[in-house]
Amino acid sequence: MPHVDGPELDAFRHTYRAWLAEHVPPDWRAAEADDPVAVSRAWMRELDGGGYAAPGWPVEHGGMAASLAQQIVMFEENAAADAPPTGLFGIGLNHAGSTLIVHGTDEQREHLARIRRGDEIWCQGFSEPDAGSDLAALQTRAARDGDAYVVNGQKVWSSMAARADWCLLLVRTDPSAPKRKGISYLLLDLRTPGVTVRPLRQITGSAEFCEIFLDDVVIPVANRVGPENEGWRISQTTLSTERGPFFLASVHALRDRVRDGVELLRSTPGPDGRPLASDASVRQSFARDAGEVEILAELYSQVLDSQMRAGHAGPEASIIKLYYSEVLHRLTGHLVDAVGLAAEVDGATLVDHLGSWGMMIGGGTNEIQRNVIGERVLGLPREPR
Amino acid sequence: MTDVGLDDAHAQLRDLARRVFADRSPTTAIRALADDTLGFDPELWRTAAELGFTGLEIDEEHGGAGMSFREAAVVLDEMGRGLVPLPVLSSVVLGTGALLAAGSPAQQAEWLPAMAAGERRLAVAIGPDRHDVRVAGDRLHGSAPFVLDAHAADGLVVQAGGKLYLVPLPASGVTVTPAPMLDRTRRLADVAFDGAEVEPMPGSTDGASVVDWLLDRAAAALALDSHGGARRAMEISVEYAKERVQFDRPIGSFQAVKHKCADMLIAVETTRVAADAAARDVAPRPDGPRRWPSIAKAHATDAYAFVAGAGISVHGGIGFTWEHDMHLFVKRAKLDQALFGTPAFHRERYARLLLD
Repeated sequence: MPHVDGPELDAFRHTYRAWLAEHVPPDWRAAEADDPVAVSRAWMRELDGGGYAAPGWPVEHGGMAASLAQQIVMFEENAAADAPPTGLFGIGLNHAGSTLIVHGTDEQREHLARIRRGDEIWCQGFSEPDAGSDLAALQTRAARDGDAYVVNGQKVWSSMAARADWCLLLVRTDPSAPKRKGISYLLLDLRTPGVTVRPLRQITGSAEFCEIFLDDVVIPVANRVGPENEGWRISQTTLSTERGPFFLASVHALRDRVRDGVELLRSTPGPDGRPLASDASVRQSFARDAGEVEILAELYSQVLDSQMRAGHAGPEASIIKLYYSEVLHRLTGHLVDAVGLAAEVDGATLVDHLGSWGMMIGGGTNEIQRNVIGERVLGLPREPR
Repeated sequence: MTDVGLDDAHAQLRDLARRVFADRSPTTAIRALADDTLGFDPELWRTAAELGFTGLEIDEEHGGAGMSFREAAVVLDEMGRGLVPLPVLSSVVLGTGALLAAGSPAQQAEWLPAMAAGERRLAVAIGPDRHDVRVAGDRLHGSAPFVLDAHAADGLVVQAGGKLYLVPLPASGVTVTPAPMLDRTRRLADVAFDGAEVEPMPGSTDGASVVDWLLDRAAAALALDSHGGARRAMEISVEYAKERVQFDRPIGSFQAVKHKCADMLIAVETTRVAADAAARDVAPRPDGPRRWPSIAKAHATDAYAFVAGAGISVHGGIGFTWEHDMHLFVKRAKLDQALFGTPAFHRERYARLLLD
């Protein structure tokens, strides 16, 4: 992982570590079983009290203007101190935060403090059943009626929407304009009449994302971010925030999976009764996958390093999501293949493997990522559209 | 960040190496050497020595530059890019490495200055390639197949019974038979020993750790060669995909071709970080196992073979012709995979660290 030390960072690390030691609730895991949302909200409030809730935000919006190196330090310390998770606030802190800071009105920016304090969970309403990879084809219609829009349509793949309070919503305000020119960006209070949120069960059995049905939903014009029909441009700000230390947790988790894989292969007997860890073909595929995990971690560490130096990521950044998801897919797939029927019964390894398809699709399918790499990194001509 | 290495000095060394290899070793010159007995251009070797490429890791006292494998890595990367046929892996990486790690002061004083100056070369017979060599007294018997650049060496370093021995050449009791090769940018030879007189290399009493380090250096060097070659093969293929028109549009606009090119970039970028990490890992010689050389050797040489092979596919029929350069990359990649331990050999080597 990247090189993050030096006297100032060390001082920062010690200050934050000391703060965590005093504030992480000792019994939060027990409480989480009853009400994970309450635990997460309470922890955000605690973080905000220390000024740590929104490290990447500017100071005038209650953030720390923390460097990437400081954010990595905080990530490491959170893990070491076993602090409660804040993933429910990811869309609020990253997508909503960066969009409102850059494009929001003063009134809209009042959301920022509520996100920091854990009062508002946000989700994203961009994709639709007929607008997935081709997001600009979205059809949810917003008709102007005085000081409000009346919105009808359907959104899908909205992570955490069942627990969210607010939604970043892309709607079509000018159906006669070319696809990208007729879109506006709205903020939707999910308690508004006409909003129905229905969880979608995934192939893993859990239901993290949802469908959102919008039936004559009235949204005040004051909740529009930026000018009418400029929503596509503003959405690019939202989507560009999937950077920073976004993948740090995923890369760490992948290393943990390798460690767990070692234990699994040592403890699972093969057909000859000896542990799978002594099987030549299992050793080959596991060494290949574990090597790729190390390569991914090294590549990601360089991406973070170059972001720290240059303030932006180089072309390597675009391959992180693609490579991460495919390494995860191969590692878990080979472990499932190795243990055989035990994968059906034990479940965890196979569920991890099933989950890897989500990683290969979410955030822009890997097929779309290959288009992006081909066109924006290698400079190949665009496909006809 | 498309290069191995980090700082300004590395960038200058890279520019120098790239310019010299482009001027003096274009693929027309490489093709002209295909049937040459020596297999490389002695004038280019002299130039490489004058530029210091042959003595980067040799200390100044012995006429070298006193630098590390990090600098050698830059030259190896550029040699891969240019498919350059020079006995650098055999003599500069392994021969020098063996002398530095295991040579007696007298052996170092005799060989290192001449090697830094490019006046002498060593070939090294180590690795998993069915060597069957025994020492009786100070005499060597047996055979070592597939010894890189043995045909052009002034001496051999031979592993026998976990220790290293030095055999100056020519010597009675040593027969070097060049092997016919499909990759014409490197040369292997079978070496037979029939009572040849040898000098022990005293630093190899703890033989296993020196031999492991040398094998790691070979693995890192081949990963760097693979990175240079794979990146160049990708660049040539991407340029072609932008220019070649079929169905009234450049073939690179089609996803079938574009996605193949994207996969080539992923292979090249992951190879870069692995090769760079391996170079860092072998630069010092601490005790204890190093994980990166074997990870990098397996990943990088496979990636090179994939990229060069995909390069043929992107080019179509023209890529299958002798005149086109892509087969030079494919052949070099296939030899990079096999030299000093196949990818499977190195994965098993890493598996021992992980699982045992």
